[in-house]
Amino acid sequence: MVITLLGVLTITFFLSRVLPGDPARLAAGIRAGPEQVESLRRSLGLDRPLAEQYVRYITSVMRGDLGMSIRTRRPVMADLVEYFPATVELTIFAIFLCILLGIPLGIFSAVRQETLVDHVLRVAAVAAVSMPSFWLGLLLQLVFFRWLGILPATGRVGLGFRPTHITGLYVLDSIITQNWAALGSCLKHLALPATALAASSVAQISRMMRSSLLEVLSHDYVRTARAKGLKESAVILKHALRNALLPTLTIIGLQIGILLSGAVPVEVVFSWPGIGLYAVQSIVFVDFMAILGVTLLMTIVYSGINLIVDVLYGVLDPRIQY
Amino acid sequence: MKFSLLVVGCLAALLTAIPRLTTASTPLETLFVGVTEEPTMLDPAIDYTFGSVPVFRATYERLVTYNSRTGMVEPELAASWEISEDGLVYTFYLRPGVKFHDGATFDAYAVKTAYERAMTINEGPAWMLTTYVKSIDVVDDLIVRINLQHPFVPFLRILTSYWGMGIPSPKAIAEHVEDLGKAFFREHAVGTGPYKLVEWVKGQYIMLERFEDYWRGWPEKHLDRIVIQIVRDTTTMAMLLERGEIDIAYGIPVAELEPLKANPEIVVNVYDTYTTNMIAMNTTRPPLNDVRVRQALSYSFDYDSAMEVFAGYTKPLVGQIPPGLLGYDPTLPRYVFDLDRARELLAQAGYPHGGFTLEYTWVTEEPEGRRIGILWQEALRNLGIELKITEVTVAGHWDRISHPETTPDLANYRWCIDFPDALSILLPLYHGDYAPPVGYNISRWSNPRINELIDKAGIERDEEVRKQILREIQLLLLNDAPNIWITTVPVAICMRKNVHGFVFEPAYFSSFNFYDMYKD
Repeated sequence: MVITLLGVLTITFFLSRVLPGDPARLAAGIRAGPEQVESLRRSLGLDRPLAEQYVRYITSVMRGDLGMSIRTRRPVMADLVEYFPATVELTIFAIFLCILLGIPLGIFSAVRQETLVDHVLRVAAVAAVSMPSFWLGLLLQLVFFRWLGILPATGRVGLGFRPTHITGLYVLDSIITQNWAALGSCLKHLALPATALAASSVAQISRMMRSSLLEVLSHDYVRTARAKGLKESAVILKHALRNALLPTLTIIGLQIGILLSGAVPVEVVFSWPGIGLYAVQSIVFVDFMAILGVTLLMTIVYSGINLIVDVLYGVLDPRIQY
Repeated sequence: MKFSLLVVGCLAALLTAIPRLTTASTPLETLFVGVTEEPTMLDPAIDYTFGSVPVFRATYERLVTYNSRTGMVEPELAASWEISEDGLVYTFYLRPGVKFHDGATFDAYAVKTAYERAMTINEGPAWMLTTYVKSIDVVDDLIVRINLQHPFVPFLRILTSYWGMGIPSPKAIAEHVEDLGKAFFREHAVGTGPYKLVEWVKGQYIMLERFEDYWRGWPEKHLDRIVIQIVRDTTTMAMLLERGEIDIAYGIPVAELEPLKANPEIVVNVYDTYTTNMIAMNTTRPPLNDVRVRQALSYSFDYDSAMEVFAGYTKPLVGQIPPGLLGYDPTLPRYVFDLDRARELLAQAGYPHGGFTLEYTWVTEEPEGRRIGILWQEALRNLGIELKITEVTVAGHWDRISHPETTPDLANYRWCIDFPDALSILLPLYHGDYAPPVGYNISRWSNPRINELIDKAGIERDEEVRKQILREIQLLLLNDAPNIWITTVPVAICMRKNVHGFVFEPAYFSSFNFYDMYKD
């Protein structure tokens, strides 16, 4: 893991230097004088030789210091702590929706194979995959906020309802502090962006679940289970599902990564203060430190997700051992 | 099957038949303002972005302010001032009885501390002080003297800027002296303004509350609280405004205003700013180093059609100084769309059938540039000129214009003034010493006569003489044609009809006069 992180950081460090733009100029302002730009360049250490900047950076990362964001002038760690929980919370709820909806819809589609329901779900899945998330987001805002007025359009929580900061995950913080009003507000604010973010993944998971289950249902042991006189629900849920879940689990794992990185359009539409938008702004402003910080964070997250998925494989299928 | 159809039918009926719910309404004493751009930080000495100006205008004050309706600099924290005959000494007589949000008293020492802090940090907008200020003297508690390195007539107008000129509390600076208060003022605002910063939830909102000890008092109808809400998407912002969840929407493009204009609950106003959109022509290499080719391109541009890019809310620019600033002259000639004249000039320059390609860049963050380029492409094709349109980010744009060899042939860009004077445009854009990275003379054009006149306009105190100088500069620029001047960039401010007291100030176009505003 350490070698991976070092490798990723090194590649990103040098690659980000290739991006067009002068970060000191961009941070100082396009209209700033050259003296002010140079003053900022010196104070940010950007005038040092590249090798020296690299060594200083790696050394400081080992001490837990991810440097100062050129754009926000805050420690990058503080920015990540500020913005990452919002994306994590959104992604968790999107994944929750993916599992809650994707798996049952896939099962339903498989057992109702080639019926009207199956066809409708297939069309819905194609529509969900084809629809850009930001467009779906605007549509959801139009229906549920503008027309029906039952869900909010922007933000993480209503004004005055922000829970006491513990983890930065507002839902969890609300539960820990037993602030039920805040919890209600947070959940209402999560509904639309999580749905917009999850829609495509729900479709993909449901289709994978469907095809995977159909494949498993054709196996001999399933025929044996039916021959024994078991109820169909028991056949599917007790015998077939566990095996069918393995490929779906892989997709879910991949989707977590996609959702984390694909949240930017949703974050923009819903003004969700997450890491995606922070990352995009860092790239636009050639904020090296922030780019490196986000890259490091996402590398750790992806590695962690892969590990969890691998462990879950072993849980689902005892034949898999490491 | 029948049940499924029934469910679908009911849902459809529900969605089409359900009336739009009555809109929400925000509390009368709180104003909710939707903006697309969040401040990156709140330090008045460092921040140089548009996102911070609404907060600065509410929380900080300057020595003087600008009133575009009169074109005059007016008192703010300075009750009056004197300028020495030689233009080197500015003496300000400060307003007594003014308090900062933290209880500190505003005085001459506070002014000196604020400006010296900005000059010591020396970032962003500090150039407006370091370029001109030699020293600052505290004469007594309520008299401060600013001594200039050299006379500069617009200096008083520089002091009206919200960038770099807002005066923070010296007590707060002293309490965080180790880093000149940079970490503290990044996220705190301690000024003398009518509102104090209560809360900044990153990416979500900034809350301001009335400062009870504000020196103007609170005699009329005023707002108790301002919530500046960050709404990144303008379609979403329009929905929030329609539903009454915000009272003001700032940042909706003019092309998206029609649905809001049809709403009787909403007042839509489109204002002219001092920001101009233009195309710089790289005069350092052929064929644009030939003035006849540049003039031909100026005649090839359909200025009237280009106004459609701004939904018809603007007019073609006359001269280089926008309306409202001293030096704006509607009697100046301007280029018009005339392909025959363009052809003539190209032929004189040795390009009777065009026969060359020009690269045209536009900046992602200034999207009107793309449509302008596409509109122009067709006209240029008639002259045998191919226009290659390239999008660049603001980072890429600056990178490319920093060196003559990478500067594109044609660069579309916007220029926003730093202070309300023609020299905030003419000096950085057209003076020969101000090619990037020093300034923003992207065309890298240098006409010694123009340079001399620009320098002269900086020291001429007689307004009528100054007007003549500015007129001559504009005529010379028209002849030299280093740029194609298109229009001023409009801004739309949409608000609920119960919001009153707003007065648009083009010099601070991204901000609001919250103190004078109220709701009913």
